[in-house]
Amino acid sequence: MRYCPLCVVGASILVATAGVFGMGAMLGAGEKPSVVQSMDDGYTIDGGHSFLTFRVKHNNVAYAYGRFNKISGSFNLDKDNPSANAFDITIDATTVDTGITNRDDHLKSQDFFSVKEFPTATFKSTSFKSDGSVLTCTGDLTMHGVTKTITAPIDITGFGEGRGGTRLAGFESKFVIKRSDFGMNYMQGPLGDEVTIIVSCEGVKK
Amino acid sequence: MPPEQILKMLLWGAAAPFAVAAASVFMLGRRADSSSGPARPVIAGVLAFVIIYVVAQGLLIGWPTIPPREAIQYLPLAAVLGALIGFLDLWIPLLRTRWAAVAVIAFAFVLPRIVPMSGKAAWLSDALLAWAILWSSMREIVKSPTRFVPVVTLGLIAACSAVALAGSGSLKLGQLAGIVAFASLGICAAQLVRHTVLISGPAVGASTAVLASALGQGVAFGSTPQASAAIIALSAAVAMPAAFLGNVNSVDRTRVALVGAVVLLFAGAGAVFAIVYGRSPAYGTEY
Repeated sequence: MRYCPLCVVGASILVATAGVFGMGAMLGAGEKPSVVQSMDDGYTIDGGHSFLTFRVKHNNVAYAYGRFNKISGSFNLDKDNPSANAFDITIDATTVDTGITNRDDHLKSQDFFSVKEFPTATFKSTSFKSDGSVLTCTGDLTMHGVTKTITAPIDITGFGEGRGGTRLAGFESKFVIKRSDFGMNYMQGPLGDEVTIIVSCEGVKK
Repeated sequence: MPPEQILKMLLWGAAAPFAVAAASVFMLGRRADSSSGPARPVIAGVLAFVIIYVVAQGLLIGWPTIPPREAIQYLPLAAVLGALIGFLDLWIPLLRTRWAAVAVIAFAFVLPRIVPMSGKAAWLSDALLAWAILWSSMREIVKSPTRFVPVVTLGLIAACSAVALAGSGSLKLGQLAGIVAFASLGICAAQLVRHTVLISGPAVGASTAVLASALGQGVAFGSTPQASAAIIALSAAVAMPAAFLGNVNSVDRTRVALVGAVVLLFAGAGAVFAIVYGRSPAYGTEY
């Protein structure tokens, strides 16, 4: 068999184009968003009393619910001073739980979260805005290797004392993301694209 | 599952690879009949396969980012690298020896001990091992004088890989292996009426790189048993003696049936093993 040297396929070099991403926050005309403060004296998330649940529509008929069983991190909460707020939350993607082991395993596979590649999801706040009654947080949600800036309302659910006088604080947030924005576009149709997330955290003062 | 979803899967994962592969055989057949020499079908054949695979994966599960963001996006790259190594195998005599395969196998064993194979790299070692075994066997089988043997072997291995992956909870990987199976089926069907051999060394380099990568990722990120991937990777080696047994001609049906039966028995056992010992993605009455 003869081969024409001109037909030799040279090795193609794939040049990655480095994108420059603008990080400018969309500033409203109202109150200036704050810069996130240090969380040295903030609250440590109590994993036993913090929850992250999600729901997604199945076959466009009914909602399927699930949760992540391990959530950690820390936050600052100050209802009077938005600039003092901050969130740094890590979700253990390997703890996804929908009540059916086979489904959980499927969610952990490459078809969805690919948890061995991307074992955690994180959220880090970048700015806060308050119009007096509603506190809004903007931050970077990283999931499945993709980082997207999201904005979510924060409901400060309370401050109090725990056993031994420890100071506690809690918040809840409900927001919607599109899983396709995070590269999880498999089985679109059978499973809805929009995922509603409810995160409720209780923190213990450091 | 909605009809449009099923239609999309069938179109891009099955019908398009089948049709384009079959059409490629017809087009290359005309070129082979001309005076352009035998090299052009080999090159055009592997280019056709790589393009079919990359486009089908892009349309089926999304286009890869550059650089790849997740392991599954390395499969098109594996096809390109497999094709390039297949070409090198044709032109560099050193690679034609069995020592090349032995070196890759040794490297696959040594690699995890040098570099931690975790996270995104968890699949590399298993994939390299599977590819060395699968490719070193298939590169011999393409030399079979019966022109249906290589394509039937490749098609059955790809089909069994698809069943093993999908049956053990990696539906996406199963579909990707299915692209190779349907492309092989298209080539086989077209070869019935045209005497062109599209499955060459570079083509099996590309296709086995895709299959080995898919199996490696199924083991690393899904629940495909390692033993299942090993059995499937070894099936071509087991069938090799039958590919060269006795007097032959280019349409030796007995030989094709014998090789097909051996591959189906062996790779099929690997697929059944994966379904039994992997974790099924089925739950409730729907996925």
